[in-house]
Amino acid sequence: MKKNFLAVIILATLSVPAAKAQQWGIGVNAGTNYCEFETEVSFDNLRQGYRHENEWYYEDGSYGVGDMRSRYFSVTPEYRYSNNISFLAGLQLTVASSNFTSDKGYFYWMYDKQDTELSYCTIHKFRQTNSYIGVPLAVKFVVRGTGYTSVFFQGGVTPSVRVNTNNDIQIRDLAMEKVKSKISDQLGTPENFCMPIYASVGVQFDFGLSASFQFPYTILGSTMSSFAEDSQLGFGIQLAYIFSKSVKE
Amino acid sequence: MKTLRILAMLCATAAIFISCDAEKDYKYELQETVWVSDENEPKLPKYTEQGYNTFGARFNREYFLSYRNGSQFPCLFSSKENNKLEMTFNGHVSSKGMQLKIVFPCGQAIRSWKEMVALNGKTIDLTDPNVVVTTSYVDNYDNTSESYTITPHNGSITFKKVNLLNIDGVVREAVVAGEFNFGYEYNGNRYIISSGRFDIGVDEDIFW
Repeated sequence: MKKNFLAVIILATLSVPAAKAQQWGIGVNAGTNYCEFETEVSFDNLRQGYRHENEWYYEDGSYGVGDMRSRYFSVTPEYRYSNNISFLAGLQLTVASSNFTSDKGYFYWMYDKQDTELSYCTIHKFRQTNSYIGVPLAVKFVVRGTGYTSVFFQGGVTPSVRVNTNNDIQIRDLAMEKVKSKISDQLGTPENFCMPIYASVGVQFDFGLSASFQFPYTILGSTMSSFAEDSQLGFGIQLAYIFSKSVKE
Repeated sequence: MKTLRILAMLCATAAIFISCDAEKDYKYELQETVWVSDENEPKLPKYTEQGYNTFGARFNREYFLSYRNGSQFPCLFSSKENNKLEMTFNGHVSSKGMQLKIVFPCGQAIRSWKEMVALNGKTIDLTDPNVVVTTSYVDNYDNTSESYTITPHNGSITFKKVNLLNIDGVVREAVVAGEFNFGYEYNGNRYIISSGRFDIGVDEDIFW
């Protein structure tokens, strides 16, 4: 079965002469990924604030709930090596927003520690937004379908550099606004560099101009948030519009 | 004008009630137990300094642990004469309720929970003749109890960290965290309490 599958791929790849198929396209892509993460008691500054009513469920000390959503926009010139294989490279802007709160809707955060006094602030939510500029590099393998649609598989990597971070801290007691900047410093920033790797399956429509949608599964080289422990972004959706141009030999 | 005054009074009353409720929220929440297991010995609570209202120790081949639920406070403090302090652990060994009471001199009078920071870093030698240690058992099945004073032949209780806990600009409790170990003999049997640790939030309900 495996051999047959491999043979089909190789035949499909070699069936069209490369010279005839060479074609350039430019893809304009927009996509989003979403994941939830559960943070364990790893924050030194976090005080748990509820009783363990079910001792087994909370035995691991799990506490907060967090989620992360990344949205991205990219322009990717696409070189069609054959009818089946394309190489993509381009420029991508990614905005990743992560939230953290407790299941009660608030939690205590230690913003100061003196010799015999601990000072906490009641916080509803942390929201951190990180922006990245990256270079998406990908390979696309198209399995020709019937009519104007085809299925494709795509895999790639997007080396990215963080260009901006914004920490939004929602405090319960407005009198404590004065410690916001201190808490923001404690929250910090994620690493400057990250390299999301993804694999996806998608469908492409060709009506002269072509459009596609795909479902990428993304693994992050490092997290895109200073308080998310999960390094997977999970499944997402990406839409693309491709402007094509044939190159005469 | 009269209507405005009435309205203002109503608003002020509502504001007082709301602020009282918020204070109650803090109080009840801080008195709750947060159980975080020790990674190396999961039956014991992890040693923390956050006011999680837990304690635990090995007790021979069993464990003396605070209750995770229920109405009992895991630990109580009361000021005694001659600058002494009484510390009472309420917990259980298997299905038996157990209370451990330690009365010890603390060098200076501690009359309120805010003064408990004076204990920070102090170690009390439990073999000191001025220290009185009492244990009580409650059998939950036949509802009987027995209490006896013991004489530790070694051991101590250390208040590793006593902090005042300030939340949103108000000091709300003292967090008393530490460790205890001791051994004693009773009726020809040897008892060892080891790896003891406690992390208690103390406010006016816990200290009296």
